[in-house]
Amino acid sequence: MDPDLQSLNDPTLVAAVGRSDQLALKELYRRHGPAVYNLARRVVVDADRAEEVVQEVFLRLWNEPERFDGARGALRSFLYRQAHSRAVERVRSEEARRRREERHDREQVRPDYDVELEAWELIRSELVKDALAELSETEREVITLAYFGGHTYREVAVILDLPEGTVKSRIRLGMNKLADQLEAAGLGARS
Amino acid sequence: MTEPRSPDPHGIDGPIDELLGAYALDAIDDAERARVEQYLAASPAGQLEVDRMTNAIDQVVEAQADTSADPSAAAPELPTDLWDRIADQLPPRLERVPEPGPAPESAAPEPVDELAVRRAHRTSRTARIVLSVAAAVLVVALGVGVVRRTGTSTTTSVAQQLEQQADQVAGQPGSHTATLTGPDGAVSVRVVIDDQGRGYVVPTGLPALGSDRTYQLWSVDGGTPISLGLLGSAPTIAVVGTGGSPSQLAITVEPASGSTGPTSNPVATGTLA
Repeated sequence: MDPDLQSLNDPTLVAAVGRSDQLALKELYRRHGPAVYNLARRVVVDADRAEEVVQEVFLRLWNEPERFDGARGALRSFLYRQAHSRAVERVRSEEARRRREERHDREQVRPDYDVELEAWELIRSELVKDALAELSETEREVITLAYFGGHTYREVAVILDLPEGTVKSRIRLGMNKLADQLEAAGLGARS
Repeated sequence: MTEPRSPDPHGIDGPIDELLGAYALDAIDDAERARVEQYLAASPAGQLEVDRMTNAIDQVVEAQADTSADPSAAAPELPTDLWDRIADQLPPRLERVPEPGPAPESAAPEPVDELAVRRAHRTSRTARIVLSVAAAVLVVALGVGVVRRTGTSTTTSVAQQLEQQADQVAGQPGSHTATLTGPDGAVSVRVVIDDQGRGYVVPTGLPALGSDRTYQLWSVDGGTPISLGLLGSAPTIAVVGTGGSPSQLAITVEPASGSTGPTSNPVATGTLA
């Protein structure tokens, strides 16, 4: 750990990564690697695959640092987007493989939901807990399956035996409600 | 599970904005994503809605990672050798940044084509990714790099490189520069913004603040201040994304976490040329 690099904030370290500074990348990994890994584990569950996601995210940051546009948001959010996309790719390809090999039916998919629900129970922030409490059970359900389960809304519709349009609307309504609650709690997107 | 369906070019699946929530959660297929991004490019309101939802799910993820309230409920631990595995896959460095310790009087300038050469070494390990971004509506307050000029550290090398970069940018077409000054003339802040909106901030004479305060840079065009980033409590150089080409700039002192609007009088102001 380089104590001097710790004084640099993220955009400057990304600029240094753009100039081939491995120590800058290592500092960014130290700051954000655990959070990226945490999200990857929530989605893919398997530790090895989560580690692959982390590797891909930071190698991509090294190879293409210009993809991070500091004017569009914080680096942590950028890394979350990258990690989630990578994790979802894995979940969906694994789902496709399982469907081919095992012909899973709806009942076999459903038990995953209980595991995914644990994602909410890990939340420590009272502000976020309060915001989530404003969502209906059905809204939390579709958001959980879509984001932490890595499912498309069409897959969520099959899992819950609901019309696709209902799932689409429910996700949008729930997410807007969550955004409203978080903004009211001072955790909104800064403008 | 259903089989994937072909994209619906006629909109029989309903209004496109009904997909915004699923888009924010990355819960749509590639064809739908393309349709949504085409829609968002022309819909600031839609983009704003997506930005709000994206921030919301980020907050949930962040709250899961936060174990400060209950350390016993620690998040999954990052394997100790994972960084080594990442480092092993990085292309060889072409220019070594000095380790902390005595630095030479003048750092050798970076080769002009260093980045291009490095990129020629890029591996293909990272797969294609579809970025779910579109035209930004919000200019978000950013953390901004702050470098101490200790003269004896890796950080100094980064500072020197960035100052050289700022000098190069100032001479390029499409760049803008400004000198922000304080009321008593003791503070002078040089700002250089390149044609992509990246800003280099080089303050002189800004007194160090307590750890509970920070300097914050603002665009004040049109009378509505927009945060361009936090400069830290003792800044000497910083990089900031401006998101465009602001004209009027100001620096204020704010709480360490930053403010959504200035809460004190500017310590320096200036106009970009």
